[in-house]
Amino acid sequence: MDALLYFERRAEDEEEAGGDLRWYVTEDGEFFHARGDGDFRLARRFSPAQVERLRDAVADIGLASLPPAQPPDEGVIEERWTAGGETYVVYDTDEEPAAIRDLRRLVDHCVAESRVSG
Amino acid sequence: MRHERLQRERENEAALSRPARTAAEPAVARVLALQRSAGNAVVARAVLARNFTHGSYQDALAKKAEFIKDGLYHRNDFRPSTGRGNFDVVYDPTGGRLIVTVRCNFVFLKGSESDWPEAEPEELAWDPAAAAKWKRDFMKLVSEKWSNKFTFHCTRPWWEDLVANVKIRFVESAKDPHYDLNVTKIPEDEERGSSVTAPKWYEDKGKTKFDSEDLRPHDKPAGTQRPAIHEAGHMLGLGDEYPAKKGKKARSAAHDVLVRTEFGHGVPRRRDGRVMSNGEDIEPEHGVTFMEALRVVTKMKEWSFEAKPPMAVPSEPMDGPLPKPKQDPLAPEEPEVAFA
Repeated sequence: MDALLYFERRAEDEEEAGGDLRWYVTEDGEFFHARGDGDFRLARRFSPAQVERLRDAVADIGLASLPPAQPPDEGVIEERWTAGGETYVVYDTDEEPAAIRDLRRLVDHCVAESRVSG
Repeated sequence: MRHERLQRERENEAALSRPARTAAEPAVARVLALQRSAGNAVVARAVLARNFTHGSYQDALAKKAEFIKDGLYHRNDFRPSTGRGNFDVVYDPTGGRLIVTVRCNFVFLKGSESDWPEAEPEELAWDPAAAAKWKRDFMKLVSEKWSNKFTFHCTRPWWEDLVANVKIRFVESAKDPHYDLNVTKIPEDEERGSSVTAPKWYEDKGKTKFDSEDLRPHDKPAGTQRPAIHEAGHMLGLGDEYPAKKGKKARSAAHDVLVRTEFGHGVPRRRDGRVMSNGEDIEPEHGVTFMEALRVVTKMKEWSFEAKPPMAVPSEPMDGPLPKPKQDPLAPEEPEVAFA
């Protein structure tokens, strides 16, 4: 997949699977989103400036350098962040590293902003 | 001839046993002699009865009065042996209540646009009134649902009237919480998935993730459940009871050992209507962490899920006849015969 950034949230147990989702941002700024095991659909188009900010943020983070998260005993909801061939796994039951929190905020901001800009 | 021989043997035995009834004879020998003459069952009953004398009855009443007079028995930040759960516990013997309090710090978070790109902005934002209502509704729902489901009974002889009706209180406390409750706003009728993380041994509080829809029923594989009620069970020390994902090593539920100790059977891991599985049914087994807390705060093991009939009050002490010896079919006198 030719993605600048890929994200997936998946619950290990069927009981918590109602919140499963995936999204990715392509190099040219298309934001595709899918809920559960559904098909991806184009949900946004980010501006070149937004793509640039996202690319810089991903490069700065270095997903492979983040401290590994410890999975909980049960009720595992896994979140996978993938960029540049590196994947970082964090669990919904624990605190996410500040760098991941900032990256999520940036993507949220791009999604909200692109709605406003049309 | 045979009869005479037996008669002589009995006289010899009687002669031998006579000194055993003196005060100088060791107690063990006296008991053995009594066992020979009256039978094991009679002696066992007599020994048992020594613990339930009028004196021990009066002693038990005095100790119970003292126990009640001492007032409330409490422990802050109780952590059940299940490895999860964090709450204060107070036992009030006079009122017959065990009050379990979970202090909650509510943090309301806006929803993520990347999770819900199709949502309107107002669907992902809390307004203060909605947040206050969610908080109130959560505390009311889970407190009511988990309260008055368990009554524990004291089984110590002559203390049987002591009970502990379990009341659960989820209350707000931003200052010193047992749990941070992070509540994310999501669009109506959607789901996100919730979780409870128990405090580590070195931490003073746990963390939870809820969403704004966790107070309404969700469809689960084998039932319907309001997630807040299930997650509250984790906050009270219980583990999941639905089966582990296929391919993952099957583990027993976190409260399995406590249930096994109390009820003699483990916790079945299956999908059904139980609150820690796919439904909202609260069973006696779900009270094990409160029972554990009660035993800790009262420093008394004699508590049970079942009421025990009160011990009979013994009469005043008096000298009674020795138990009647077993009938000897070879004795010279006629045996007593019961007629139907």
